[in-house]
Parts: sequence; C-alpha cells; structure tokens
Amino acid sequence: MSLRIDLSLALPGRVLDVKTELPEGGCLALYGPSGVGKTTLLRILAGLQQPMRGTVEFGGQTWLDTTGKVMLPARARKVGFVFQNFALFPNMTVDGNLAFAQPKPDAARRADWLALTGMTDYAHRYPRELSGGQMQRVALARALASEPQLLLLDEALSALDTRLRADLQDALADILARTKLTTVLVSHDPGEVFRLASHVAHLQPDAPTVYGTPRDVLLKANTLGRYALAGQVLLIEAAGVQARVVIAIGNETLTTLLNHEEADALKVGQRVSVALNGASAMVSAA
Amino acid sequence: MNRIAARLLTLQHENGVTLIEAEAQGQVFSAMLVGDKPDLAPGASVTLAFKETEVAIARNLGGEISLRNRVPALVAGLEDGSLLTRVRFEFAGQPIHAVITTGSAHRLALAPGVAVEWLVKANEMGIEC
Repeated sequence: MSLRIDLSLALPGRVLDVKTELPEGGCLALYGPSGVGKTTLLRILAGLQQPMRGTVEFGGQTWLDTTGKVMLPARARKVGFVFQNFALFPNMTVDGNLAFAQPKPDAARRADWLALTGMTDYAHRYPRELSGGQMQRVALARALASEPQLLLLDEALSALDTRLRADLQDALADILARTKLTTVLVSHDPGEVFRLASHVAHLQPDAPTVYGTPRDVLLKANTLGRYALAGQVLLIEAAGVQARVVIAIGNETLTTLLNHEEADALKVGQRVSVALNGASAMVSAA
Repeated sequence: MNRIAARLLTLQHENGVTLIEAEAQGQVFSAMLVGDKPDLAPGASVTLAFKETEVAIARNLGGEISLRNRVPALVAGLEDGSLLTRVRFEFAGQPIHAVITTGSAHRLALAPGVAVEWLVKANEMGIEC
C-alpha cells in the first residue's frame, strides 16, 4: 500500500513542511540531524501526535486530514513501531512479547517471525538475558507480529555499536525485501539510509526538505568528484607552515593540514563540510 | 586550497569516471572525477581546486611524465619550516602554493626567481562550479 504525506509541523522557531509519496513496498528514510523533526513526523504517521496542518493517506485511506478533521486513531492504523530503546516488556519472554503484539494468538506465525529475525533459539528467554542486538531483533519481530501494514523504525539501530549496526542493517534489508512492507525509518546515519531506503526526505533545519533516492540525496558533492562529509572542528594548532586541524566525522576523527589562512577562518566547535577525493580514498575490510 | 578560474573544454565520461579538460590563461588543465556524470557542458565556467600538499615541483624535468598538469613558473616566494616549506608561484595574477618537504626544497635549491614546473595529478584536481 502506498503512503502519501503532505504535512506542516510547528517546531520551535520554525515550520517544517514535508510532502512526498512512497510506493507500496518502498522504504522512506527521514534523514537529518537531531532536533530537525524526524521523530515528530514518525509519531504523526503513527497517530500519536497531530501536526499543525496536513494530510496522511495510506493505501487510499485517509488517516489524517486537518481540514476535514479526520484523525484515525493509532490502534486503527495497523502500524508496527520499533523504538531506539527496544521497549520490550521485561516480565515477558521473547515469545510472550510477540504473543502480546499479535492481533490473535498464532504460535506458528510467531515462530516464523523469530526465524526471520534469527531469534528462534531465544524464544523462552527474558529481555534481561539478551544483548542489545538481540533485543532489537526481538523488537523488530514483535513489530512484525502485530501484522502491520506500515512499519515505522525510529532510530532503531542507533543504540548499537558500529559492527552490530552493520550486521542488523543486513538483516533488516533482507527482512524488508522478503516482507515487502512499506516502511518509514528515521535515521541520521547516511550508511543506514543508503543500505535500507529506496526514498529519502532530507530534513534540514535551515533549508527546504530535499527528496530523492539515496544516491541523489547522499552522493551530492559540493565539489565534483569529491564527497562532502559533515564534520565538527575539534582542534586547531600550528604545525610549521601549515596548521593541523582535527575534525570529528560521525564516530571517527580526521586529521588534516590546512594553510594558516584557511585554519584562521575556522574555530573549534564549528560545523564544517569535508570534501574527500573519491579517487584517492583507500578502502580495506574492517 | 589553490583555486583557478577556468573554462571547460571537453568532458569524457565512462563507468563512473569523468575526465575533464579546462583552460585558463592558455594553459590546459585535466581533472579526473569519480562519480556520476557532471551536469556541465563545454564553455562552462568552472573553478579548478587542488590542495597545496598535492602540488609537486620539478626543476630541469626531462623525458616524459604521466602527470597531465604541468605549469612552468618562477618561484615567487618561500616560507620555510623545519619539516615543510610553502612555495609560492603566481598564475593569472593569483597565488598558487605548493607545500613540499624542506629537504626537497633544499635539494632543488629553490629560491625566488628560480625557474621550475609545478605539477598536479589529474585525480587530485577538483572542480567547483
């Protein structure tokens, strides 16, 4: 079922407009920095919050229309929601968590979801007996067990370390391909967006929302053939005729040399764009 | 960062690699870009951009060399450090800088007025537009 969104959200000091369509089975990434309105938008899709103005249509059914005063309640929307903090019931086993989410009890179907998420061997364990990655797999299986028509993932993998996140991205990509569920995910991780999404809405605090494929949105370079990465200046210090500048990019740091005029124009804490030469990048297995 | 205003002459694209030739002050520069085909046409105004640390300097260079960007120039100034030296040239009225090791600067006996060539590999040349 396809999703159509035309919304205006009132955020502190500004209004965020988002208007896009997602075909059936597509995966839309709401991508952008913290505080830009991604999770608010997801909560509106789930029916947990109202926008300032707008409409949400899913599968030809109007879920929300502020002018017509339509507001389909959350429980009627058949939405599966996966949160960053897992939100499992601690007093229930893995199987119990899935059973609670099912519209009607079906042990065979639960076994299918556990198999799909690689959690068959953990059905009778409690959440406290699981690792972070295992809990997020259960959270995903529970969302699928609710037989949703629309899957919503709110920074679902961001609490996990880099390696585990990459593994779960692979698993999630496989699950989305098999279930063909229409999905909206919130992420500030370009790798996750590129791996999982078919469509991207790039939400920005000071500019209109940009739409396109991950390739369109994420590979746009400000200098042709050189890929722009968002970073933050950590350190600037003189290094002879050059200046040494250390920049945080995601979870990593990059040290580079700039001339003094360029370095003098920067200050610690400043957000910067780092252009890397695509041809010169050296890549090896991690 | 060194920047030179130039005019696009040719653009060849194949399998995610684009080879661009652009002209500035009668000098033809080459840039190799990785990615989608740029939305540019011959005649377009572009800016060639390359880091000071990507500029090599040669003196009395003989024979053939694969580097496509070779510009004859006189050394206009030197700023010595213990490890690195910043060498200044003039091109089209704008400064071009190269950062090389101080050892190499001494080996080439660089000094203001010395005739050299500065060189940049095509894949180190960026295009801003």
